[in-house]
Amino acid sequence: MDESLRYEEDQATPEIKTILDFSNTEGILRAAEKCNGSGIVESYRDQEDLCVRVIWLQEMKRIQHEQGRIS
Amino acid sequence: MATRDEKDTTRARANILREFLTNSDKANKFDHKEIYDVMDLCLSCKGCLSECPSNVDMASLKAEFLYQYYKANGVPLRARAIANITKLNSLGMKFRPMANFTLTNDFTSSLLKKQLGVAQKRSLPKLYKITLTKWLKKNGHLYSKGENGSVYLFIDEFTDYNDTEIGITAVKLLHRLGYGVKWVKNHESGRTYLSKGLLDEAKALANKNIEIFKDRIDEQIPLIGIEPSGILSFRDEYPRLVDERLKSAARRIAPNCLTIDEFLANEMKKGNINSTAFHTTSKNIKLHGHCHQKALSKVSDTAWILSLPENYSVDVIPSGCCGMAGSFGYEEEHYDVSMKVGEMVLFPAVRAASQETIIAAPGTSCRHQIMDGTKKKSLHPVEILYQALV
Repeated sequence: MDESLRYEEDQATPEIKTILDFSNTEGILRAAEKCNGSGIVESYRDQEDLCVRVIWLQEMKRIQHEQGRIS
Repeated sequence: MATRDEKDTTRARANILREFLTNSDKANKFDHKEIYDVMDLCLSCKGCLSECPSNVDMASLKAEFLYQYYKANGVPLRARAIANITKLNSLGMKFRPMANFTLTNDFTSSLLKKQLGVAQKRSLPKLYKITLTKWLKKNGHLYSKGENGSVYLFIDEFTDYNDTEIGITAVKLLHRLGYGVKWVKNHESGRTYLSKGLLDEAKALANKNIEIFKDRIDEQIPLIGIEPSGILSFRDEYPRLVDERLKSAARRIAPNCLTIDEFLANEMKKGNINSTAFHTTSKNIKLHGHCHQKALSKVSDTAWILSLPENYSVDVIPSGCCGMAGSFGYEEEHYDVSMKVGEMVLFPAVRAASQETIIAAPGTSCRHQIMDGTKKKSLHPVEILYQALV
């Protein structure tokens, strides 16, 4: 709990070469971060539910700030 | 969800990837058995893409992981066999009676399943007497013109070898509804390679298919497919997989690559097809949507087209993945989970349906799973509509 899945301050995100194009999430690692809620990638597949997602992203940011997981 | 174990959640898969991709000291950061174990029960159903607000497609992450992991550890025999099933089917067609005997005889199929690590309780898909490609070569010219326009038919590998009758029915249905069906010898979709992480092979196929269709497909002449997981690769994986030089072409044609359900729904909504084409007998239909359809398209299109005959009533089963998930449910160690997934919603709904109720399922592996799990035959929507024509 204290050691795994934690980030160090100023830790760089490694760039990982992939055969599939994950550029819409700035790479596969950020896609994984986006999936588990530890990262925020503000790109959208469509604009239909933009408002809902913006609210959700803001909420995620707030929670993550409170948990100290992002600076 | 079926196991109720945190290790088997999408969140766990994201967490293990994040941990190792961030902190691994290996040159190939994917080369960790721990990731393989946590990824193992991902069905690649793409449910996460549409159901979770993060919209991350774990199936793509799993495909990439397997690709990188196998680079370091080799591709297991079963994964290789499943990925190359189209080549095996092509070979099997040369000795079809013997191949079908081997696939269905208790003794020989049991040996085959044991050798490949396939669950003994599974039935294996048989080869149809003719491929769809061969049938089209002989008969395609009879169906190539229509007063309402034309479409290109994508000949996916499952319809070509196993569900050929559905392919033939689709051609006849489209023609009866006023559409000319064009075709060109295309390559397999690559779905089996995508699901097993053999992405070099999938990429080569994606490149070839985009080359074939890039100057043939537009808004007037769409490419339509019968098996959702085949045609939807044009919209989902191909634009992210093809060579850089083909990316813009892949993106350009993607919106005009449609499931046959989507195409028919669009035409019905435009008024080009109406209920007078169909008889007025009453039928009840229970519909199970394909996972990729739920993630990348709409099950409501299928419900719409099946509701067009005046007295057809459609009830959409609120199911998730059927549990078969391509080859997942065939795999010996996954059989029980596969059946558990089916038992969550789908199987009870199918069993509860009256004898006269038609079970509809656009996905080939969904139909197989319904048969294995409930012993009830389900139909592709085009079969139901063809039978409903006046």
